[in-house]
Amino acid sequence: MSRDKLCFDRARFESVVNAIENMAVGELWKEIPLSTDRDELDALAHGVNVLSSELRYRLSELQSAQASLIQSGKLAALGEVSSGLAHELNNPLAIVSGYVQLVRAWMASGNATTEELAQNAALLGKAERNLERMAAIIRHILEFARESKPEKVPTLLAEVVEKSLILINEQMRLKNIDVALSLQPGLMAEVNPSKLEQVFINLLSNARDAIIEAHGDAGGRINVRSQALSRSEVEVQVCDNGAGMDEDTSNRIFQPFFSTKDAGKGMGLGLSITHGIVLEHGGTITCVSEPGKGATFSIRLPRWIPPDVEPA
Amino acid sequence: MTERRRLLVVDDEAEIVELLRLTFEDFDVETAMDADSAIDRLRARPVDAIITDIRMPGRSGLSLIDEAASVCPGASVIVITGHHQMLESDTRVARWITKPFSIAGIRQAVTEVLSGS
Repeated sequence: MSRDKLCFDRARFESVVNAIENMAVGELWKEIPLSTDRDELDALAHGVNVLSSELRYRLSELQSAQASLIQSGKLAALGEVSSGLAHELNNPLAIVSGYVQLVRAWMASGNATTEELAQNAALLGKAERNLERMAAIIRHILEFARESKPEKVPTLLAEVVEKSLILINEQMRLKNIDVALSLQPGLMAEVNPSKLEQVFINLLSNARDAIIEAHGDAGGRINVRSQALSRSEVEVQVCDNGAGMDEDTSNRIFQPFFSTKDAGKGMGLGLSITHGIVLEHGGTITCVSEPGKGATFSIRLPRWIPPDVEPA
Repeated sequence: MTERRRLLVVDDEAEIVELLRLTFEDFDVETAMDADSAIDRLRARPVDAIITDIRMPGRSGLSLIDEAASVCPGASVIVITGHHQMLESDTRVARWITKPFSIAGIRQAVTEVLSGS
């Protein structure tokens, strides 16, 4: 082999090495061009091309598995809150149905006085308000359960937190858990609202379970706070006064299938899905806890500031 | 004139309580929004029947039924529940009614229970 030929090989060799380095950092879609020589270097480049195409395929499979895992986690979260939801829907339904029956009975009696007519109108007004309450709950369940588009849109964080409470508030109330919100108004992030809501439902469910574990039906307190950390970062914290956990547990809590709950009570996927969603939004999630002293989960996300608005 | 029958209505939802008060306008209706205040009402004055929800913050309706048996042993118990958890075998409960309920149905249930049929 001549020296010139070796020089030429080195340039090609370096371009192959570059391409492999690019693949290593995730640029799987660039194929290494083959020369007309069909020599050993081409054989190597071809092998790398085959590998990267295989990787591309596996990656797309992984992404779709992740999407379906998130969707099933969402449905699991919904399943978990469904008995509270049934109660929440049944009460306004009973109120509406009862008031309508009372009004009909009074109207059927024929000789309604002006006062009775006014009372009927008031009862129908109450019925209407409760219908709206039910419609809002149902609309929200549908919105949440729907497989969401992968889009991220500028979203008010306070709104996402408040919506996540619609689905879980009844359970909190029945367990005497006081949920206090302290949300900085106007804070926004570019997120998929339904996925972020799933994050808060998971964290709130987790906090609820920790409180029940520590205090039973005596209840407890959850604080949800949000604040801007800087022009470019926001933080939302979910803080409970539940059982807390030791360092070993808090280090493993975001691992898939890690659960401290009894067998059959949760798959141990909630917090790992939560972790995945936060990462997908370019954020971080951390947990600080001590046994007996509750837990604080902190989510940091890139902040979105509307154009031509000076940040607070 | 015969004395009006006394009812105690217990539900954590104010509008359900109001609905039942209107439904039983011809009764003497006491109301409570949790088990503890229901027991206070029973201690103050016994009733003929208790209409109670099961799932409430604090003590549940079942715990109220337990205590009511000693505080007000003569009272019949009618349970209104949002859940289809019919515990027909529970002999302390005269009737189980699920939400949403019919006004005529619940009036009939109370009348039957009070007349012992």
